[in-house]
Amino acid sequence: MSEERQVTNDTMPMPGEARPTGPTPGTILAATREAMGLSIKDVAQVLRYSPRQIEALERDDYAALPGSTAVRGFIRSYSKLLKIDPVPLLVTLDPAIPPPTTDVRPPSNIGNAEHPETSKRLSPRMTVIGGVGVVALLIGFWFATTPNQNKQKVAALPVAVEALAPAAVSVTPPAPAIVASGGDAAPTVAAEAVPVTPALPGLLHVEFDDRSWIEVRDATQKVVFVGEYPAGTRQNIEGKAPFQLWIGKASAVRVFVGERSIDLRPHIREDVARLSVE
Amino acid sequence: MFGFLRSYFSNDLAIDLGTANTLIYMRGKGVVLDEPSVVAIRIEGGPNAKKTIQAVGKEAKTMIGRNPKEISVIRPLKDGVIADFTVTEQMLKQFIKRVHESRLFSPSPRIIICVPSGSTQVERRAIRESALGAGASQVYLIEEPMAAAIGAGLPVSDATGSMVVDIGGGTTEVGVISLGGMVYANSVRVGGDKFDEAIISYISRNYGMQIGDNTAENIKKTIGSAFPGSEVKEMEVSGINRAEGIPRKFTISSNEVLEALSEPLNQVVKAVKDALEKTPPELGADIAERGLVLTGGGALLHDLDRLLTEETGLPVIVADDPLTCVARGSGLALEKMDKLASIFANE
Repeated sequence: MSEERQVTNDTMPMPGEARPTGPTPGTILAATREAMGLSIKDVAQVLRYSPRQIEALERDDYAALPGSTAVRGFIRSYSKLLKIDPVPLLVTLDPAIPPPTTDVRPPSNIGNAEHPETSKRLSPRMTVIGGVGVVALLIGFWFATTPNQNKQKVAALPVAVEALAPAAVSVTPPAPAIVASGGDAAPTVAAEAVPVTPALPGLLHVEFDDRSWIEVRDATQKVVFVGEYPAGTRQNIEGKAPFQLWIGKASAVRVFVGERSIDLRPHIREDVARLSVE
Repeated sequence: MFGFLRSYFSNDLAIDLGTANTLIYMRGKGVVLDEPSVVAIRIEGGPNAKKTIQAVGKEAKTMIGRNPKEISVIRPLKDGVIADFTVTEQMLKQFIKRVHESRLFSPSPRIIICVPSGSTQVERRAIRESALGAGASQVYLIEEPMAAAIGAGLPVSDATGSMVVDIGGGTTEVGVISLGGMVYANSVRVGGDKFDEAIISYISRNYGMQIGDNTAENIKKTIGSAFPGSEVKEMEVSGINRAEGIPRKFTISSNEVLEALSEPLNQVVKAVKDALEKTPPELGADIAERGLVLTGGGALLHDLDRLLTEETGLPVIVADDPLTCVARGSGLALEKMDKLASIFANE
């Protein structure tokens, strides 16, 4: 028996070696069986495989055997019976029949088996990815539409108007739309006839043709003028240039620096103007 | 609070929570942990008395039978199910932490965990709660015979019968599987532990010697056999002579171990025969053609396949790497858990 083992080990590759072109597991098993004087029937009697299966294994006809798990187990049992090491045989077998990996799949004839809950709900991973995406989009939109960091102040403006306005600016009372002049004189349109508060050099001057809100910050980032004002309001705003302006309903507001009129149109987006004035 | 974030940064796990060993399969990495299911707990006295975990796994196992009064070494699972809920939870928590490298978030993975097919609803609920308590975000259960069959590479999804016998530390699971479902499943509370107990009892009865659990396990692994062979092996063993109360050495043979194991082995054989009796004829024919497959640590008992072959008249084969079959099978189920439902068990 020790001779047979020696012969077997010499002919078998060690793990990691390339597959030899020499004897296959089937031929080694057959040769060892014959050397021991056993018939196929004897082997079948002990292992309880049918003689047909043993012949198939000795022919290396693995297709005639029921799957790789059975082939590998069969070789292991047969080797044990013949008292030879099964490992070299299994190593030789690997390229022909890889170690079994079960294909776990739903039975094809009973429809698509899915977990009832998972089909209705998003997985936590997808939820996180989706959430992060939405937050990123919101942040991107915020940066795209807001030129600086004072978005919260802008949003809160209508509420803060009453408290801030008296302290920050000197408000000129709204001028009457039409002013009567002398008895024989015809009424004139307010915009032309009303004496406009003279625009002082270095100061901002704003005029409201309709109800609108405004916030103005000077170079020190101090809010110098804020509030919601009715049509006809005219304001002089003092402060240190450059000024930053947010004007709601900008189409109804005119801005002057000294005598110079500022064109708000390039700065208007969705009827809100955001601009900086030197 | 940040459960969803923790689960995002955790890898899904499949756990073979065995009586003797716990194995963890991590998605995409394979089996990453194989440790004995043993916990050593230090009980501190005094005004600030508290219990702390001294060791888990291999380190704790070496303490069995060698522990001082302050340390109690616990095997929190018995017969395949939880015997000590709190300790099992702590053990799982330690193991899960060990296999996760990231320390930024405490891990909160989705877990597939194996349960014996014969376990009760209460026992299954305990296993589920224990895994949730250990930090799992979701827990799915899979019956051990199904996991073992998948791990052994049997064609569980095909319209052909496959029979698997998984002999673990606490239970022996017998399952017949076809078309992705269990046609028959049974679980008997006999396994490696009962083999060890039988050896301890035999030596106590015949030699008047007392040996420890680890020694009995060592005897079983070294010279244990399930079928009489031509070669008789012997082993020198140390134990305490019960009459003298003194440590002594003696020699035991493989035939004696076989005699000691006959009772639990008969129970395993009976479970297999019962399963074959209740298997539908068509599937029985498939099993006769393909053979029945042995997995689990018990499959490594020398000549167990031979015993079953003789007793059933069927070909019996031992799976590749039988110790990790259940963990690998659960792992394969884990890889496809989002698409499969029929292989999972209900409470």
